[in-house]
Amino acid sequence: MSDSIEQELSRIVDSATRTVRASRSRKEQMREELLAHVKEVFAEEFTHTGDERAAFAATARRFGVAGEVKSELQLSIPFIERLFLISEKELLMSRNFWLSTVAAIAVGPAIILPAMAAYRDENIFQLFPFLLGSAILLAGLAMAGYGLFRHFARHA
Amino acid sequence: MKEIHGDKLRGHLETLILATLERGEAHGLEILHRLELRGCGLLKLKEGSLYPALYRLEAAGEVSAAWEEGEHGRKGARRRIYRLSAKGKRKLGRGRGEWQTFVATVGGILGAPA
Repeated sequence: MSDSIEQELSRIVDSATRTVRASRSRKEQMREELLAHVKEVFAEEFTHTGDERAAFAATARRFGVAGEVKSELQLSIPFIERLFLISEKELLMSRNFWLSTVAAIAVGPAIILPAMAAYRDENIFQLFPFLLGSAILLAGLAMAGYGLFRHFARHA
Repeated sequence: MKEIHGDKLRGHLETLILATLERGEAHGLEILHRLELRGCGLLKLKEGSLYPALYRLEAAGEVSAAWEEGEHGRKGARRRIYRLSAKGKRKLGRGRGEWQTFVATVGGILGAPA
């Protein structure tokens, strides 16, 4: 196999794997396995045709459209892995991030205030709602603080 | 007979892979060769689509995979060998049952029982 063919085979695999959002080790594993596959297919096709260009074309055809393979590879990545690999830019642009922030800031006090009212009116201290509401409120404030700080830092 | 292409296999590919692995462990290209052989050359699958299906099966614990030793002439690229797990065997059994129900139902409607 000539070097140029080897590079082109690598390019087929790279175009399908490069932008997949996955951990580095998983992407390297995918890349290595797919590269082994296309090299083997190329060898098979070359045995039939004896022509490198024809064998390369057949290999690319058999592999499929890189964009489609990439989409399928992306769907095979477990949700948790994708979640932890979300980039900061995507996080700050994410509607879910801001909705969660607003919801936490709204829900936290909605749990704390009745607990505080019960303490004021009946002198009963409800520890669990107080702690839960505080944790949710603090998480919401931390998310808002982080989001706003990073947003303005990026645009400064 | 007309060839069967990837979009018609959607939803069945994973069960087909499990069925090929029932005959013994195999790497990706070997799985494709088995599919082709058992499909009498009528199954036409975009080969890049096989691996996402294998990764889903692996994530679900239905197959296990291990790198083969050595690169066997494929500079810098090793193959992974896939093996059917006990969970995969159970899924294959369920898949066969579902397929028989599907064929009987749709075949009955079409007036073309299997």
